Amino acid sequence: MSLFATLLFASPWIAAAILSLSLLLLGMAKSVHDDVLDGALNIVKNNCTRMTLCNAEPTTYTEANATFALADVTMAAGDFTAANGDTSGRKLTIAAKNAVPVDTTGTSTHVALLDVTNSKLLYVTTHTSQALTSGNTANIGSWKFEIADPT
Amino acid sequence: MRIEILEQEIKQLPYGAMLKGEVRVVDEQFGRFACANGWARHLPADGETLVPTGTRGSQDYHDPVVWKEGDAAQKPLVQPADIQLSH
Repeated sequence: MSLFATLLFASPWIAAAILSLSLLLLGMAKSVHDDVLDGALNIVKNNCTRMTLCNAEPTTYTEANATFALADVTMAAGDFTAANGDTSGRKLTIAAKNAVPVDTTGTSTHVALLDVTNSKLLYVTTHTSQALTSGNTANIGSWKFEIADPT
Repeated sequence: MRIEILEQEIKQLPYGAMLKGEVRVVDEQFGRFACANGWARHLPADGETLVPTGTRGSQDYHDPVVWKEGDAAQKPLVQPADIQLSH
C-alpha cells in the first residue's frame, strides 16, 4: 500500500491537504505560445512608421513627434525583425538607421517609435546623451526589445 | 555650431577660390571637408549649400558655397538601449 493510501485511511484530512498542496505546486508552471508574444511584437512591426530622437522622455505621441523631437526617420515593417529572444520568449530587432537628418539642435536622450496613422506612442527607450545639431545627420544603431517567457 | 579650419588648401579657379582642409567643430567633433570660402554654419550634407557665418583673417566670406564631398558630415551614433520585458 502506498504512503498516500495509508495516509488516506489513517487521516483523510492530512491526505487531502497533501493532495491540494501538490496540485497547487503543479499549477505554478506558466507558459505562453510564441504567437501570443508575436502579437505584441507585430503591433509595433506593422504599425510603426516613424522613429524619433527626443531631448526628453516623451509620454505622449505629441511629445515624441513634436515637443521633444530633434530628428525623425520613416520606418516600415521591413525595419523590424521578430525572432526567438536572447534569454527566452521573443524579440523584435529594430534596424539601424544612418544619416538621419537632424531638424532641431539639442541633446538627444530618448528614442521613440510612433504609429503616425493612429497617433500612438508605441515604445520609448533611452540612449547615452548625444548632442545633435540642426542640419547635420545622426546614425541610430540597431536595438531590440524582448518579451521573455513567463516565469 | 561653428567650424574652425585647422589646415587648408586653396585652389584658385575662374569662378573663385576653392578650399579644402581639415575642420574642427567647436563642440569637439571632427571631420574633413572641402568647400569654398571657409566658415560654414554646420557640417554639410551632400550637395548642400552652405551659408558662411563669419570671416577668417583678412578674407571675407560672404558667398554661399556648395559642399563637395559629402561623406564627412557629422553623423554621431545614437545607440538606443535594449528593453527586456518579463512577466
